[in-house]
Amino acid sequence: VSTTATDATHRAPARHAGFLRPAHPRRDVPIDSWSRSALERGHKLLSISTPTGSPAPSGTSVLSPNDLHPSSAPADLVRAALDEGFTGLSILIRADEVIAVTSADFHAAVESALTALCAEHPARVLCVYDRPGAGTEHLGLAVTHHRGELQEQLLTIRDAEDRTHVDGEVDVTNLDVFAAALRTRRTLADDIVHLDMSGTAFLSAGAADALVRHVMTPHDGLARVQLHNPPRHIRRVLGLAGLPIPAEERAPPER
Amino acid sequence: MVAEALGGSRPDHIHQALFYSSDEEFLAALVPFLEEGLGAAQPTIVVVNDRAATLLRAAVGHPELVFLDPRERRHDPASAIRVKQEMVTKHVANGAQRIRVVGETPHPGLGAPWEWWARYEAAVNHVYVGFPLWNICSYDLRITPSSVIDDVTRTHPWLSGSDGSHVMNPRYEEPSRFLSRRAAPVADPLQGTSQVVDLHDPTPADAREAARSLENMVSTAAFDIDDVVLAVSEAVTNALMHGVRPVVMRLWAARERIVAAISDHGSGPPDPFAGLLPTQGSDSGGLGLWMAHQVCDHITLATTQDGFTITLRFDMPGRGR
Repeated sequence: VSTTATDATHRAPARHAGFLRPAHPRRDVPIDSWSRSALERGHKLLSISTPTGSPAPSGTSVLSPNDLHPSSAPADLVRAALDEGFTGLSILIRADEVIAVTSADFHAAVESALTALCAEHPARVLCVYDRPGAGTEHLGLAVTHHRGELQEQLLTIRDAEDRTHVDGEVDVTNLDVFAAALRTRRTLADDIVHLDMSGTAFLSAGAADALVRHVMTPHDGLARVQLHNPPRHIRRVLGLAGLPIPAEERAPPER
Repeated sequence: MVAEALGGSRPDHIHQALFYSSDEEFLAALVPFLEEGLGAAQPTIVVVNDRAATLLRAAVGHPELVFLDPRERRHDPASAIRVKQEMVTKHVANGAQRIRVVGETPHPGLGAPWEWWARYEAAVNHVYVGFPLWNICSYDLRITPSSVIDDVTRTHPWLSGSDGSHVMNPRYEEPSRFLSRRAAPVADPLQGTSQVVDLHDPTPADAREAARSLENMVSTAAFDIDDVVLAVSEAVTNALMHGVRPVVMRLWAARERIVAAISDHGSGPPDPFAGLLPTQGSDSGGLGLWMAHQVCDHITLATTQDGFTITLRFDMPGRGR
């Protein structure tokens, strides 16, 4: 699908990942790949099903949105999978369907429960948000709940080892994702957001402008942004946008 | 007279052209201008070719006269405007009431394409309003094409007299009028050959992928493909966001040059100064066009009955600049 999707196969995916599914002929390739990986891992594969929703992938057991709500103790699902001899549980959910039959607030509660589930149990989750759809109308939900990894057709934004990695390409088609991810992290961080751009393949003029405004407005009440390892061509674009970047540095951020 | 253009207590921009045909005419017009500035302790700067600089250095002989190497100058009009704005702002911050500059604008007689510099000569009348800059652009009639002379005459409110005087130019046109009436520029000869890429309604990502494919056709040591990628992506983005589909992107590549043409059926940017000045905001399109101006070796904008076409040219370093 993209450079990002290819790169993702070489890196362990985040346990609770988000996928912004494009209106693209091969848009389900990352979902199929994630499902195969879950089965190869020996996980039980669950998918949320709704009356009007998409059919679940083959080999998938289905459940309802209510089963994942915190009030339903979703950890029991993991225990049941382990009792059945599986090595863990992988859950595929489609935000558009969950929100359509419940609400955005309900879906947010499910996302929070899944984050806790992945942190405490052998569980992995892929949340699919369609664009256009929940991936545009509820982009804040997707960004806030998938800071470990949010994949878009051209771009993956993921937090790892105290840094936010911007991998792939940012242009007019996904600038909203980039901007929302940046703002969310600046809102949630205490002091500094360390943005690692070593994997950034392209930054459009609009994206560079947005980034420069975040970097150069350190007194807006949000966390500061510190850039790390922008490649030569990204430094050039940032320089044109008014932010000359010093020479390459590879040292880890200050802790 | 020019004194009135100073605007009383607040000096304003004076944009003046000097046409000359001999060393004597060149010196007769400029030496008094430079000496007057130096005598008033005004920052006085010369950016001309080596031979002309030698003439002026010998004739004026003032230690405060600053000579800048034109080879160090930015090769595109968008950067030139930005750099000069910064320079004037810095001098004003240091207390300067008036900054005098003698410069040469690139044109085919000096080995450079003209179209975007014609737009520059018109745009600076708008850009530098309020700046206490007195800029004389010198053109050697022995090497300046007649079409350039015509454009220069229409874009400079003031002309230098043969005796060093400063006279109003009756043929001057308001910048927006000059820019809106320009004929479509002549196509690059490379566009007469077979294109290597022909995309209809490409996404920006498609445009970037096509530009990157040129790495297999040209010397990557000679071209910075990342510049081509950025410029075509921004041009296609503008066409998709602000133009009228279908959008067509074509690329031509030769050993020493890459040309990209992006067309749509719209009427082009409404801003007559598009690309020469930055505009803020991710949805305006102006910032991308401004960046493209700074990474290309020439850009032409053409609006015809069929729509709008932006043509981007990239030269092998050492050629065309």
